[in-house]
Amino acid sequence: MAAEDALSLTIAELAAAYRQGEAKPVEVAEAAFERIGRIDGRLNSFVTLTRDLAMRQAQAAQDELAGGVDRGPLQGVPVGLKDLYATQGIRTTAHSRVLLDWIPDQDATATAKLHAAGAVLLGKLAMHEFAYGGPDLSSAFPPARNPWNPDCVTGGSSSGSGAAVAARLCFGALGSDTGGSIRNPSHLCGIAGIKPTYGLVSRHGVVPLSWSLDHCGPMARTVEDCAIMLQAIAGHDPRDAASADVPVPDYRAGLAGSIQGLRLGVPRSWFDEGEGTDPEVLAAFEQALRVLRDAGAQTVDLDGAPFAESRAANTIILMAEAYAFHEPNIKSRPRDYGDSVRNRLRQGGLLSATDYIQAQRARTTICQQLRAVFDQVNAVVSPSGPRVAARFDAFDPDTAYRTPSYTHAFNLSGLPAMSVPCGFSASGLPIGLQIAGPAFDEVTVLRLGHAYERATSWHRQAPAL
Amino acid sequence: MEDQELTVDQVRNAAARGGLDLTEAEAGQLVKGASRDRRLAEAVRKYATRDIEPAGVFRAGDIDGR
Repeated sequence: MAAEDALSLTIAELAAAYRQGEAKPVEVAEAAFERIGRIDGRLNSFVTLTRDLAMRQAQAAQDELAGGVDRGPLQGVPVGLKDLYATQGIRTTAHSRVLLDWIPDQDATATAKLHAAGAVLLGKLAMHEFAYGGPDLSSAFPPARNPWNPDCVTGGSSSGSGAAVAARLCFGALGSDTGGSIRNPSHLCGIAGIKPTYGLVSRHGVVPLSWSLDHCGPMARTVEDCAIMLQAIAGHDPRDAASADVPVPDYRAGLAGSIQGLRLGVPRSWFDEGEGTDPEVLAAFEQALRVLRDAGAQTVDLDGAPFAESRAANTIILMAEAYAFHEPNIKSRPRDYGDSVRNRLRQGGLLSATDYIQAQRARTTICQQLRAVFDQVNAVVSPSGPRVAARFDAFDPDTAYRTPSYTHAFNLSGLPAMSVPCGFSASGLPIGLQIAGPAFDEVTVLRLGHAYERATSWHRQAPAL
Repeated sequence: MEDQELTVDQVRNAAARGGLDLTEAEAGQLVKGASRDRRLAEAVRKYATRDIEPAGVFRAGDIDGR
């Protein structure tokens, strides 16, 4: 197999190809850098390339595989990291001038776990500045562009992760998600991405946005690949105060189970909030429900749970915690922030202590009600977002406040949620299906996503670049 | 009343209480967003009923390992 052709494989397929002698890690890493050099000037998905490290890792993986040392399916697989995961000896900027010269002296836990699994780090990926601003020309680096149409946004804040995975520049990437930042770019770039349960993946060494809402997780081309990556990074970490000491199941093995009889809740009243959901998105979602029913799942309409109301509490908590983290720098060096994130951070400084506490009290109530939903159903399904990707020249950040947000409820509650591709608009832009489940039941979420992928071919579509 | 926009002076005063010294132009850029935030902050209060403590309530055992 030509190395360039190997770039179109999934992680699971590449791992098999390595073990069957059909591909070699060094050649695949070289092909990835060649493709990045040829294409990424149009996408801006990488902000730092780590070629020397990657080639050392690829050679090590190749030697180990030849010598019978098998670290699992990520061994020799080229990946990228959102540029807020600390990387020892490698610049970590969070896409901001504030951290432009920061070279961490240790890896984030998730970074270290990927290294231990034998992954090949191609580089650090673009993001919305500090995972907070929108796509902003005044940030330290240009915004990532959507591989399906470079005139369109990728969604964020894990923008480079979404673009690079969709463009076949890397096989998988880590993102982070505080209000939808894994699921939004997965939705808009046509890939899979999972925000695991709060505490399942360590945040140690990850630049925070909002301590009580931040989640780390993988983005890849398929649900199976997300399962493989999640397996590598999940697990208790005493260096993360919120880390959960829970058993980590075999996510990939869990994909094989049936979805026969699983009950899926559909919170339809949510879809009409504000200016509502795009008809093309709704049509793709309804078709996805039919596919899931054909595969044996049951769908039931949900009413009454405060899904839509979650956004207000999530937003207030996020703003207050983000301001607390950035307070010294936003006061002393505000011009080092891009316009978008500077204004958002300053807005957080206008909130009162009482505002924050009331939002945290509301969170208790809302979470109790959301978790009770899972006494009735095994999962909640919705569109991943209300719109397809907007053009840069028509991008309006306020649109997000006028349309339903399907993601915030699962940051506020910490429950696992993923996006999987479920169609395209007439303009050729991807649409995602969100699947959310009970706490620490990633197995069911992934199984549903995998069952959906087995019955469809949306995840096999690739942008023409 | 809740739907009214904040004024530039209100934004500057709120910022000053938090130690942020904003120019009139800088505060003006925040009026729209801050007004929306104000509405969100009011909206959450209906869920903060009398017997509810904040999420992430302090637990001494988290500090000393018990």
